[in-house]
Amino acid sequence: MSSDKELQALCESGRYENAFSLIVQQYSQRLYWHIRKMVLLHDDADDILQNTLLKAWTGLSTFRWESQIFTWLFRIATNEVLTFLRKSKSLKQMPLEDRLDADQSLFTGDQIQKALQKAILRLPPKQRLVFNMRYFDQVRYQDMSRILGTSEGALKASYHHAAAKVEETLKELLL
Amino acid sequence: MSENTIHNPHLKENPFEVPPGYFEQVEARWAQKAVDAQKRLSPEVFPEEQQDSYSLPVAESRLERFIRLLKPQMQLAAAFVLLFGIGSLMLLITNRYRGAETQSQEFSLIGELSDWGVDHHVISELVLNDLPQEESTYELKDLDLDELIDYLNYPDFDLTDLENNTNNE
Repeated sequence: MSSDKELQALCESGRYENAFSLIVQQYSQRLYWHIRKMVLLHDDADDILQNTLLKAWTGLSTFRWESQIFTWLFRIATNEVLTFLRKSKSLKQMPLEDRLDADQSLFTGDQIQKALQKAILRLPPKQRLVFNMRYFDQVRYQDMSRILGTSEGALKASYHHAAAKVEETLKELLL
Repeated sequence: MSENTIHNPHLKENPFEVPPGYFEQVEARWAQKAVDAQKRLSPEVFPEEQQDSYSLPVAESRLERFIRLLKPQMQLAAAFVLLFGIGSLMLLITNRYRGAETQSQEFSLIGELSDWGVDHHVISELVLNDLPQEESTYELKDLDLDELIDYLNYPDFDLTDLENNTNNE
């Protein structure tokens, strides 16, 4: 596990390719799951991950190392996800809830897990991000605040509100 | 605690899968891109190759960063200057063309008339002849002859001649 200081030293000595290989090894899985939980389908998640890594690669030389590389990468991924969801909505693609039913090749969960995913999908995209990050990945509010650029108080309120809504929807779906 | 609530630990498990070997492929793909970039960075070891969109980022100096940040504003300003320049040029050309066109029309008309043996004296006469003849268009109707005689007060005025002329009309 490389620290930010090691990565910074590699970049400052001009060895960007080594630094980036380490970043991919260290963060690609977490980034992928962060994206996948938002877009649900593997192909979409793969496309967004590639865009995220490409942007990270081209922006690595301008990264200031004042913030953690982890928050920077997650911020890029989050922006890519939100852009993707906006585009999907404007293109009037099949709703994610229906796509989850249609493509179950890479969904191994049971009925209750599927119901939970459907309940989460009924949240607005930004609230969904907050819920997923906190509920599944236990991301600290402090880190979430840096990634999403929102105050910790607002994030806590958003999560508790989202959790109440998901709980209610889940009960409805499982009746 | 009910199993149908979000507090059920089973619900926090990841219900998604990825194709076998997916993450290894991602790492290998990006490692290869890094190697390609390294080749381009060391031309003495690796011969120069065609650049692609994954070319390696180069550390920026302060000046480069300043230029990069100012670039969009400079582009916008340049676009305005260009548009203003094009507009001014169009206006200048149009005005010049319009003046030249009027002059050339005049010269071409005179030239054409002189070809037909019409000089400027003839043109003046033609123009003057076209003017309305005010005296000839004026009609004397319901004249009060006494008033007219008093007004004119000609010593040799013959009323009989005037009567004959009026009857002939």
